Amino acid sequence: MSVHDEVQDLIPAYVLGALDPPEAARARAHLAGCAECTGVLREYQETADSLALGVPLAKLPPDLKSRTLEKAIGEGQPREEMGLIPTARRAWPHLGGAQLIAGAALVITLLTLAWSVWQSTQFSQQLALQRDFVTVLAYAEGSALSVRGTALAPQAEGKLYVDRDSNVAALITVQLPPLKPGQIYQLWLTQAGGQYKSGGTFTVDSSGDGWLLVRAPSRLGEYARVEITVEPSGGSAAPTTQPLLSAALAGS
Amino acid sequence: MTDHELLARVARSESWALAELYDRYARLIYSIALRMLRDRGVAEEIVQEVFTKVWRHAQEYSPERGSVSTWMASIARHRCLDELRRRRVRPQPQSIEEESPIELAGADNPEDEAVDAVERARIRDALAQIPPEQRATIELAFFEGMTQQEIATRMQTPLGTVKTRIHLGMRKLKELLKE
Repeated sequence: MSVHDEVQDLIPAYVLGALDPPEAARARAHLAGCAECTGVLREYQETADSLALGVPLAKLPPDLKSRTLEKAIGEGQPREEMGLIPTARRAWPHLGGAQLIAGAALVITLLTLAWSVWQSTQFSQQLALQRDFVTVLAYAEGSALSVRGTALAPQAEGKLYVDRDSNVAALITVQLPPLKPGQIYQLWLTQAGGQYKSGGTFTVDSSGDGWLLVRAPSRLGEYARVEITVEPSGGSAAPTTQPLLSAALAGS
Repeated sequence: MTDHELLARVARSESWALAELYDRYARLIYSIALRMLRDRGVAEEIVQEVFTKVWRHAQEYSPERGSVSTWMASIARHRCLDELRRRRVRPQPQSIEEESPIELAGADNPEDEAVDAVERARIRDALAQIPPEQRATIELAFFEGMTQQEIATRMQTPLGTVKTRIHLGMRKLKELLKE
């Protein structure tokens, strides 16, 4: 039997990892230079890979999601580098330099300090917001609600990570239309009687991706629907345009 | 959103995409680990390690390596094989859980279940169609990480028989899964 034929016979056991080390090394050496055997290997590898996908599914422990996300995302990474969402600008203004006259330098220094303090405050607020957002995301065990694009934005979609017993939720949107200057997206929670309550406002990036830490006036389980509309900057007291994203909250 | 799109967003460090992947595949990863290790605590650690690896190395995935679910399942299996090898070197007292049945999931989340339910059923059907002794031999190799020689010893069967079972069983499975 040629090495080629021998390796073809070994391939089923090779993809299962069932060969003894010398046999596996012999197969590996031949596979490195044989296109035909590599093709056979690929077919058997797909078969072997399928075995893992066919296992009976077990129940997940209820708190594993939060522990997993905290470990995966939180370990060894400063929050501002998580890139979850747009962060505050990190570039710090540079001081003028030696070429400036002393008075101007002093003014610039003071302005810079004031700007830095403002930036730092904004930055801290943004980080706190991100932390809250991740917390909601991590603890929303299996309760992500799909938010669908309406006829006005059929390509748009979103996920709302919601605990109906609380009044906070995490919203992620993708492919929403870009906003014009002076516009903002606003999330609405509607009650059975038809009253609208604002859950917050947000913007999107050039890809139409956005996020919002939703804060409802009361428990989210009390609302029937969630809708997202375009509103003037600063938000509105009630929707002034038709929704672009929408989903039922009650009974879902 | 497809798995590939989600993974691309994970590669851009968008953590919500990892949460979405968790919703789709954590149950599969946990089930593979539980099937291989028979220990809920270690299976939970495997889930955490797999998603940590996905978070850090999502950019290394390429579609030529198979589907995202296959890639993640492969990470889980290899991590479990490492654990099995470690146990062989340093045997531990038998876990109580080895004697207790695995609690299988019900259809409490039909949307998630639908993701790969058809594919899973197809694989289970294919496995059910090959002779039991071939299936058992293949599963010992794949899930227990045993070599053909080790399987022969475990099953008190000649080595040649084990090789034949693996060869015929895998060939039949390949044909069935192609259909």
